[in-house]
Amino acid sequence: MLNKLPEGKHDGLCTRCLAPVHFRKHNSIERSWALVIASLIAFIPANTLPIMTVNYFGSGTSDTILSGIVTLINLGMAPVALIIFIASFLVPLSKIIGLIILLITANRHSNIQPVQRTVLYRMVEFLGKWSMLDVFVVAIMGAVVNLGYITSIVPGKGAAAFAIMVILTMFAAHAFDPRLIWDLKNNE
Amino acid sequence: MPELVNLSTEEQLDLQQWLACSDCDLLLERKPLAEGETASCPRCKSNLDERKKDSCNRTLAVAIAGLISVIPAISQPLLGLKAVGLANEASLIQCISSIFQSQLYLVSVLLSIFCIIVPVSRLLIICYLMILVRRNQRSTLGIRLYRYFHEWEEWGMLEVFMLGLVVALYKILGLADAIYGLGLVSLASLLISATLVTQFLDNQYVWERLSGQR
Repeated sequence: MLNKLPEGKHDGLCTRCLAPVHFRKHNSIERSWALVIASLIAFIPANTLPIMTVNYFGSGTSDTILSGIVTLINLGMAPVALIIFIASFLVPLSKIIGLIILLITANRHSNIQPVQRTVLYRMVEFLGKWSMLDVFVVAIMGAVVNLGYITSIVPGKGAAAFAIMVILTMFAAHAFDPRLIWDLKNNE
Repeated sequence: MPELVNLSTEEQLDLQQWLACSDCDLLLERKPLAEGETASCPRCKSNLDERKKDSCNRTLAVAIAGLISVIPAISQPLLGLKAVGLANEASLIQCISSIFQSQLYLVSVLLSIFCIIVPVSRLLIICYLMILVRRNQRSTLGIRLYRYFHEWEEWGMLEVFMLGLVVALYKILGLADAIYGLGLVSLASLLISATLVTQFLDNQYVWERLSGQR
């Protein structure tokens, strides 16, 4: 759906669905940077605070995301450990790195590989929600594994920090305007 | 402040001959598509337009199927574990309340938004819209709802929750015997319906119908 804006205006409302429209998202690079930095900060408590505590006959052990992965490998559950490692560590981190690459190159009006950078942007957008996996696993385990004194699992504060981090990266990807990728130097 | 631009009918008709790529903003001439055809952007290969077969009826059917599965998917136990004569099962609602009791209030709110509120409201919206389209009604409310339907898409995380269940199941099997609940089947059926809705839905067609351009 195309809209026509009055001469000299950069914003308006779509004539069909009344959504705000603009030639470019406002302060896209600044807002995206702010959210990326905030998610990097949230990345620290998300990985250092315990994500859950396993109580077994009265004695509890707390696990962070990374120590939980090590525990899983020790228990011989390497495939699950791999899924958790990819979804909770590799994906959020590569999302943040991908956004930083996009932001730096867009700011410089770089001519390098605009098609591939568009693909990178789509991947960052697509991966967004899959990082919530570990939060859901912790919530399910906390509710299911609850046999009183014998064994129980209590979700920890790391899960909250982790959820905040994932949401911040999703908002950061949202704030980024992919049209910036196509502002090439020789395209003036 | 953004304001609504009023266009004359002539100008609107003129604009309808053009199409802007939603990813790279390349301006393209719109060509009418036959049922089953797809148009993609020549520059960035993003999908521009598609005319799907019997879209409206199929979408309505799977959306209703999804809504039927919602109640058992939420309230019936998903998974459980059995050890030394004791057993415990949990439904989606119990997952949310147990994480609330662990004082992770934010996580419990997010869980209910991502796994219940967003997916269910999107299904309700699409049912209402398909009925409007079938009756060939123009609707401003419908247009607004359809916009929300798209904007909320990435905040519906049932498929991630499903993978979470698989991971949790695998972990439980390492500890004790697992119990499979009715909720698991219902959730799977809800998820399949939600996926099929996006498969069958013909975006451009719905927009044009709701705004009376077709």
